[in-house]
Amino acid sequence: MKKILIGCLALLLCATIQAQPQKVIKFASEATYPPFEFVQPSGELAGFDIDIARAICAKAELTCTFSNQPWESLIPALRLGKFDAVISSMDITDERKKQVDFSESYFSPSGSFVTHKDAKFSPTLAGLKGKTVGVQKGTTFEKYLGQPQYKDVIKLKTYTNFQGVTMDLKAGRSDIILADTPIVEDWLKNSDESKNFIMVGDPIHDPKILGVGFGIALKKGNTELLEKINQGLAEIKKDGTYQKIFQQYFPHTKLD
Amino acid sequence: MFEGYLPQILAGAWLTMQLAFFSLLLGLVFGLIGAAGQFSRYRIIRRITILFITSICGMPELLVLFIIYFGGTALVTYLAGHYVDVSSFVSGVLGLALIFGAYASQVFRSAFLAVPFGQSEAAHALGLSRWQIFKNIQLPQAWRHALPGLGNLWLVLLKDTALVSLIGLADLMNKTQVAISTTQKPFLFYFTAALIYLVLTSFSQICMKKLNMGANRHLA
Amino acid sequence: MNDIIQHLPELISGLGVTLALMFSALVPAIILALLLTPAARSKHLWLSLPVDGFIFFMRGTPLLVQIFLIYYGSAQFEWVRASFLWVALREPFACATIALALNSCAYTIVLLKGAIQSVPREEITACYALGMSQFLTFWRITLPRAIRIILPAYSNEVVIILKSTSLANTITILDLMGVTNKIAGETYAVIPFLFIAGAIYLALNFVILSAFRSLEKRANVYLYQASQ
Repeated sequence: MKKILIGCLALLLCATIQAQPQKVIKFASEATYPPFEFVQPSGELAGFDIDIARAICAKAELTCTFSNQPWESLIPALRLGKFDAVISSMDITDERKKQVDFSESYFSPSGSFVTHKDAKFSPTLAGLKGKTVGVQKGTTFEKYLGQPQYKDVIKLKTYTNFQGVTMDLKAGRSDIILADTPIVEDWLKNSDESKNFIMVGDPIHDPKILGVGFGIALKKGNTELLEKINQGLAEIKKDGTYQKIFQQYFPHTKLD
Repeated sequence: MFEGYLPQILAGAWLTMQLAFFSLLLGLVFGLIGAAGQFSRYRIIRRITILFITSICGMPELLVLFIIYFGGTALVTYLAGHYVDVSSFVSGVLGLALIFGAYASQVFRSAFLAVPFGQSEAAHALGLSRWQIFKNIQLPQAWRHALPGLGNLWLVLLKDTALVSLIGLADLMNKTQVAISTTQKPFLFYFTAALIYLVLTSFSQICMKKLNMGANRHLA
Repeated sequence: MNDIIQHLPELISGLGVTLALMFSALVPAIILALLLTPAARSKHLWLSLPVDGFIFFMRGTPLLVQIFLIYYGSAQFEWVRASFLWVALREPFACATIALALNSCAYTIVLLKGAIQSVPREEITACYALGMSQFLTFWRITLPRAIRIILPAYSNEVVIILKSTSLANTITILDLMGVTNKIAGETYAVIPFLFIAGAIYLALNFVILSAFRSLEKRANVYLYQASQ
C-alpha cells in the first residue's frame, strides 16, 4: 500500500515538473464554434481554423497539437504558457494586443444579428430598446453591446459558449443574438433553424471594437514562433492552400 | 440515439474516474498531513493548519480550482525561476485533492481522537517508537473510525469532478457539452451524464459497504 | 488597486445576487423538506419510495448537471415551453433557485430523518401515555428536539448552499463568481480578483457560522440553565 502511494505521488510530481517536449507547438481553441472549430465524434478537433493552423504548421515544419479549452481562460492560460498559440476565431483588438501578440489576420470578421422570423423590430439602437440580447462571454460582441449607448437600453445576457446563446434564443429566453456572421450562417443552415430564425440588419464592421480580423494569438515576446507562423500564413495564401480551405468551409462567401 | 457521441462520453467518464482516483490518493495524504498539523506541539503550526483548512472549506470548490489552475502555474514558475507547466489534469487533481484533504483532515482528527489515549501510553511504556505507535496502534483503529466519513467525502469528490470541465479538462461533463454543441439535444445528454454519475456513486456506495464490513469484521 | 476600487460596485451587486440566490433556495428547501420527511419515514412504500428515489438522484449526481438539466434540458421540449412552467423556467435565476432548493431539500430530509430517529423513544411513548395525539407529539416534541439536534449539521448545509450558488454563473447569472469572472476577463488580472472573491466568501461563511452558533446557544438554553 505504502509503495503504491509513494509511486503514485512520484508519478504526479513527475507530471508536474515534466519538461516541455521540444518543437511540439500546442494550439488551444474553444471548439464549440462550428465551422471555425468544433469537436468531431472521434474527439478530434476540426474546422476552418484548425485546417488553417495545420496548413501553417506543415509549411513551417512544426509539429502541432490541438486542445479544446474554455474561451474565458484562453488568454490568461496562454500568458501563463499553458499552450503556445491560440487559434479560436479571436479578433485582433487593441485591448487584447496589450496582453498577447497576434499573427497577421487570417480572416475578416463581421457580426450579424439573428432573431425570430416574426420579430417586429430591427437591430438598431431604437429597435433594440428593452430587448434581451444574447452573446458569448468575453467576445468582441459583448464589448460592442457593452458600449455606453447600449447601456440601460438592452438587457445583455452572456454565455460561456455559442450553443448556450442559440439554445436560449430558441427557448425564447432572449429576443435576439449577435455573433460572427459565418457562425450564424452555419447554424441556420445546418440545424434546420432557418425556418424559424433569420439574420437581420447589415453585417457589422467596426474595426475599433470588432478588430481588424481573426489572428493567431501568441504569448508576448515569442517572436520566433510569430515569424514562423506569419511566414507560413503568407505562404499558404500565396500557393492557394488558404483559398482551398476557405472555399471548403464557406462556399457561398466571396474571398476578397 | 447518441449520434455517435457515446464512445466520447464514455471516454469522458473514464477521465472522470481517473481524476477522482488520483485526487483520492493525494487527498488522503493531504488529509493525514492536515490532521497531523492540528495535533502539532507548536501553536503556530496548529493555527496555520486550521486557517488553511477553514479557507479551503469555506471557498466555493470552483474558486479553489480556478485559483490552483491560474495561480498554481504562476507560483511554481516563480519558485522555480523558469517556466514550469502545471497541466489542467494536475491542477484539477491538486485542487480536488486539496478540497478532499481539507475535509478529510477533520475526519482523521476525530478518528484519531476516538482511539483511547491509554493505548498509546501503554505502547510507549512497552518501548515502541512514536512512528511504531502511529503505524501499528493508532492508524489501523483510526482508519476504521474514519471509513464512513471518508466514504461520504469520496461521493462528494466524485461529483465535484464535474467542475473540472470549467477549467478545460475533457471529463464526462465536458464531453457531454461537446456532444450537445453539435446534436442540440441538451436533455438527452445531460440526463445520460446524470445516469453515469449515478452509476458511479451507487457502485461506490456498494463498495464502501463491503469495505466497512471488512474493517469491522473483528467486531461481528 | 485602482482596478479593484473601480469594480467595487459590480462586486457588491454580485454579492447581492449571491445572497438572494442563497435565501431564495434555502427557504423553499426547508419547507419542502419538512413536508417530505414524514413521507420518507412512512411505512407505505408508495409514499416513501418516490421520496427515496428523489434523494437518491439528487445526492448521486453533481449539482452542475442538475442546473444544466433544468436550464438547458427543460428548453429542449416544446410542451415545456408552451406550459405555465415556462414563466419560471425561462428565467435563469428561477432555474438556479429550483436546482439549489431541490438539492438542499434532499440533504435536509436526510438530516431530519436521522435527527428524528435519534430522539429518545421514551419521550414519544411518554407523550402518548399523556394522551397527546401523534401529530401533536410530532409537532411539539419530536420536531423541536430534532431541529436542535440538526442545527450544527444544518449550518454546514447552509455553507454548502452558499458555495454552490457560485455555479449559477454557468447559466448567465452575474452572482459574485460571475462578476469575478467577468472582471477577470476584462482586466486579465485573474488571480487578484479570485482572491478577493475568496475573501468575500470566507467572510460570509464566518457570518453564517457565527449566527448558527448563537442560534444553537439559544436553542439549547435549557442546558445552561440546568447546569447553573
